[in-house]
Formats: sequence, C-alpha cells, structure tokens
Amino acid sequence: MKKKCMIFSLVFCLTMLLSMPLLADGILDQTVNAAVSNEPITDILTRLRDERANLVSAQTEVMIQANEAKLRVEIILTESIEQKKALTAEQLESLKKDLETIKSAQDILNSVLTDIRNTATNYAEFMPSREYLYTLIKLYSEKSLQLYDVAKALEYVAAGA
Amino acid sequence: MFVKTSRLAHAAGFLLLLFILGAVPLGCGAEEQAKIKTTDSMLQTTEGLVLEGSGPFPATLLARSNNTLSNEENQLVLQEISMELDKVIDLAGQLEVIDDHDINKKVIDDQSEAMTDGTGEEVVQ
Repeated sequence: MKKKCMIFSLVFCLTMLLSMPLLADGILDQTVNAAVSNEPITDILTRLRDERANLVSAQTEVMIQANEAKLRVEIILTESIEQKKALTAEQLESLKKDLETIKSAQDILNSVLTDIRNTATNYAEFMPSREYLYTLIKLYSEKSLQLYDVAKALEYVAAGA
Repeated sequence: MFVKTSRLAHAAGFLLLLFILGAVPLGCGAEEQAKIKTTDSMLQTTEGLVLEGSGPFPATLLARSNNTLSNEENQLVLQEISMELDKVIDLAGQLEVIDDHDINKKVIDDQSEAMTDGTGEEVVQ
C-alpha cells in the first residue's frame, strides 16, 4: 500500500512538473488577453493607423532603395557600354551577391503581399472586432520590420557594398 | 517465480506510464522543433535556389561560370539585375495598391471618425 502511494505521488509530481511550462503559457495568455480586452477601441484604431502608416513608410523606403540600386546598376551598364571594358572579377562577385540580395528581397515582398492579402480576405468577416484589429496591428508591425530589412539590404546593393 | 513476474510487470507498467507522461508534453515540443527545422531547411533550400540552383537564373550562372565575360555578357548580366530590381519596385508598388484599396481602410477610418465625433455606431467588441 505504501509503495502504491509512493508511486502515485511520484507520478503526480512528475505530471505536474512536466505540465508546468504549458500551464504557465496558458496563465500568461489569459493575463495578456485580459489586459488587451480592456483597451479602448479608439486607442486600438489609433495604433492600427500608426502601424499602417509605418508599413507604408517601410514600403516607400524599399522603393527608394530599389530605385537607387537600379541607378547604380545602370551607371555600371552605361560605363561598360561606353568604355567597352569588361567587368572585373571583383565586380562580378559583387554583382552575384547583389543578385542574391535582390532575389531574396523579391521573395520577402511576395510573402508580405500574400500575407496581407490573405489576412484581408480571411478575416474580413470579423472586421469590426477587436480580435481582427489586433491581428491587423500585429501583421502590419511584423511586415513593416520585414520591409525595413529589405530596404536595408537594398541600400547595400545601391551603395555597391 | 510468480511474484518475480508480477514485480517485473509492475515495473514495466510503471515505466510505460512514465514514458507516456513524459512523451506527451515533450512530443508537443518536438513537433514545434521539427517545424522550426523544416522552416530552416526550406530557407536553406530557397537560398540554395538563388545561388546554387540550376534554375532559370542565367545572370548568376554566367557570372559564376566565367569571371572573364565578354562585353555582351557583361551587359546581359547588368540588364538582368536591372530587370530583377524592376520586379522589386513593382512588388513594392503592389503593396501601395493594397494600402490604397485596402478593404478595411474605409471601414476603420469611418469607425475612428464616428468614435471621435461621438456620433457613430458602437463597434462590436
């Protein structure tokens, strides 16, 4: 009987120990949700507008840097045509890296576009709800960061670094 | 003999129980780790396609296969890079279109205005 009790308590303790991180996550989520649900809707909308403005700003930055990079490539192209001079091995190596960066930028932009489109389509029916507004805020925030990263990478291409 | 077998069975049962209890939460973690690993490998694959793949990327292939290109090949490489940058600009431009025609924009703005005026409909919460 004693042995059974010991085994039972051992198993119980082990279960509690293993499920602790899962329980902690749940409690944390509940706390966050409670705090979030008390936020005034006007504040949420203000935050959403700010995040959207940030996204547009990041998108503009990507376009600026991509145009700068294109300008640099066109200058090299013009020089190459005018001087009839082959590119050096260093220049080619640099261009290969640029091409890699550009391709990666395209992939990221494609995924940003897809994610925004999907969210707009899939969640539109929940439009006026807080949940949807929070989803949009999170989405815009994440995508802005990604776009700024792309802009930064393209800045290096534009600078020929 | 019977007592020994019974003890062995008990011990085995206990170990099995421990294994199940341990495996369930750990299994969840393992699944997440597997997801992360898959994502990593996908990223690697994508990077691989960009640089190492035999996909339709003649500029890269040209540049990699021969570092002493002719003038025409040089220009081809540069023109392709320029075209790829056009694609980037085009994609970024599509994001602007999404913002302009964002199906949520009008609704959100209308709601904000209504809220600040104090005349609008209550937002569903």
